[in-house]
Amino acid sequence: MMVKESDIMAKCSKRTPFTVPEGYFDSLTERIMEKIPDDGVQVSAKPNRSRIIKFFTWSAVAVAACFVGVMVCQQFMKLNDGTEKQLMQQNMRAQVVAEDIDLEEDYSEDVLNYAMVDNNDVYCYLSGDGF
Amino acid sequence: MTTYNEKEIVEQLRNPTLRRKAFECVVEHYGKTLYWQIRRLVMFHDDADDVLQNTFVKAWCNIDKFRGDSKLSTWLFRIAYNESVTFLAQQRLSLSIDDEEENLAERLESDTFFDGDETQVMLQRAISTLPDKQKAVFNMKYFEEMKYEEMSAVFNTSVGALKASYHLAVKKIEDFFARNN
Repeated sequence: MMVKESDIMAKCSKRTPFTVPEGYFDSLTERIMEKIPDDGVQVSAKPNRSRIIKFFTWSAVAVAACFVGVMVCQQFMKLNDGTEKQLMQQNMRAQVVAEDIDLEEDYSEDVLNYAMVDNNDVYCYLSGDGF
Repeated sequence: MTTYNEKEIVEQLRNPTLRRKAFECVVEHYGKTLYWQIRRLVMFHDDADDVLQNTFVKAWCNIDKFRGDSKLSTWLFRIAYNESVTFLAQQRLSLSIDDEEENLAERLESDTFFDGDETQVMLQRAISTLPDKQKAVFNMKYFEEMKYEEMSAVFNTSVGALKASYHLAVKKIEDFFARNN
């Protein structure tokens, strides 16, 4: 199938708009042959600029990731710290309550001893049998 | 200046003592053609120069794998195309598509080694939106007027598929002009 070029394509010149530095092709063979390794020597091709750009981009990403990691750890530690404090406070409160209960029990026992009343007397009193 | 005889050169490339000299003849003979082929794909001189050097280094390192089944030019064009595509893929990693397109227009207009008018900047922008293979097919046909049969050997694709690819490329370029005018 023949492709019929439209007005747009006809308007675009087939002349290449690209140019090269003066004398570029004169020294091209010499410069390329300088890069060609000796027989049997396998070298990697010259790293091009985009590889260098890629290297720096990934380095920047790695640094950013480390920074974010440190920040997250810090926040996590802060959170943990807060939770520990809360737990300690709760423990202390529980301890105080437990001590209060112990004190109340001790006090009741002291009173009963002082009145020389034992548990049996208390049951009789409560069941209405009297003393 | 000695005349280039491909058959002789290929034989010399198989001889370790003559290999380097023969390869120099290959660079001399195909350097310019490959440069323009690469340049149309990567668009900027420094990039084209890097890719061209990589192409010849790769060809040299793999010269033993060239069995002579195809023409030396076909084998070199294929390496140059693969190197260009690898380069473009790496470049795309660092730029988004929109950035790439905008960046391209700006870069072309300020490039010392670009001597084109507004229409040519637009044409290059349109070409840059094509998939790599379509881009290469379009460039080879439109600018270099290469025969489909020759392209078929480079891309290992049928002539019919290459014609369809070129037709599609032209259509996309026209659409790009219609959208941006």
